[in-house]
Amino acid sequence: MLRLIEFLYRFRIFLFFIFLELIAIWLLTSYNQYYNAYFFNSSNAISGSIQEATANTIQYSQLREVNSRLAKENAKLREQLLNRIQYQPKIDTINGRYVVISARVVNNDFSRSANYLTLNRGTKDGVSIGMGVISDEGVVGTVKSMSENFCTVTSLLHQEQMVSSQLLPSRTFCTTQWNAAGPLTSKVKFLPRHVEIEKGDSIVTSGFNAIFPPEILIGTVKEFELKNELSFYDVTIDLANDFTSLTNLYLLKNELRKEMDSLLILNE
Amino acid sequence: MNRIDYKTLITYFGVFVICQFPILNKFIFANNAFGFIYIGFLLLLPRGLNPFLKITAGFVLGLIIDTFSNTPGLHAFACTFTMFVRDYWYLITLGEPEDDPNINIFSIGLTRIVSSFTPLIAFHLLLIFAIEHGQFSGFSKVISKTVLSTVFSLMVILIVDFAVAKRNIRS
Repeated sequence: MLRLIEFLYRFRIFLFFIFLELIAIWLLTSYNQYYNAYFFNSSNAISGSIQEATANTIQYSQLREVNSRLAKENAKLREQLLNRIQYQPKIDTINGRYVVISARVVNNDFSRSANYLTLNRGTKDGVSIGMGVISDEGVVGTVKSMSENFCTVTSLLHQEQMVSSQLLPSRTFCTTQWNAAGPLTSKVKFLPRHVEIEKGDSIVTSGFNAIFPPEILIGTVKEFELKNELSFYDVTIDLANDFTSLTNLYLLKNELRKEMDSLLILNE
Repeated sequence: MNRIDYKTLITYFGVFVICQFPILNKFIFANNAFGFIYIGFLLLLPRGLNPFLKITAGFVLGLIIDTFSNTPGLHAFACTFTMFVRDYWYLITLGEPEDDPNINIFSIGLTRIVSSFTPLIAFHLLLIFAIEHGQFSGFSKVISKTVLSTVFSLMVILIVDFAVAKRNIRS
């Protein structure tokens, strides 16, 4: 026993170091667990408030640009209203299914392998995990976690983020997944070789889940390649959003989500 | 023996850690060079501090960075590791601690501070980028990010250290 105590005492610094490293590894490997995601990310109350204050200062200098973007969006919506066109941006409501919550970006990563955004909306505004996030340009991501006043969004620029998509005009289903090759482009998977693709074709959401309504723009085909040995195209798209300068976004709350999800679970 | 200069330490914390998020997180050169200057605070901590205190400082600082960058455990892991090996490495590059426990560009000298800091910063960043990357394919990108970010971070740390330490010597 004495020897054990002597051993522990002699290597106490090393053992303490190992103990802290194990805590770090545990945090690292359990990020998807709720309590971890809740406390140690940018949507917790303290870091959210600090980042909001910083964003307020930085965005003050960008007011002119934000104003002009909002004015363009206003003009686009007004035009659609006047022309009563069939195509709707599907951000106000879709047969009463989606409620839109506007939000402002208080923190935005776009240069790492796994990128997140922090928005100034939380549980008190009705935000819940898994809600879709879009801008007036297209899809941005999904809500990962939230506190009372802030939420963290897994950006489309995250290698584990997959979005159920379709290619227009052929309406072929596929999946969009980022490959960490910069914030401007992404990859589209599972487009079968019999489909005809043109540069500039749109990739939009499929609507095959309760997160995004159908036909929200994700990007446009930049280049594609069809290798002999593969069954699917290798497609690169230009993302619709400029992820380096996001300011005003919309959270989509699907009122029928619980019903849709419970049906899916029943069918599994 | 000279005393630990706490005033300088507080200034280092203010500049290296608090400025990391609003300013340096936004500056990325050539899409690959990131300014991880918070490591400067750990590298410039005086020698001769209690080892438990140093390792704990690394862990806590890492957790703070993690909280802001949505990477729980990543920076905490790397900072704790760097703080553990730091003094062993300083023994090799700087020798036994002298009378002055404070580390700065004036007490150590530019050549010795660069040779001491560069491998530690590179090792720290390599840990972060490699864990974040999470796969072996495309590892060359991790290496290029590490090299460029090491140069960028080292330059900023040296400039800040020069400015802060000089001002405190004058006062």
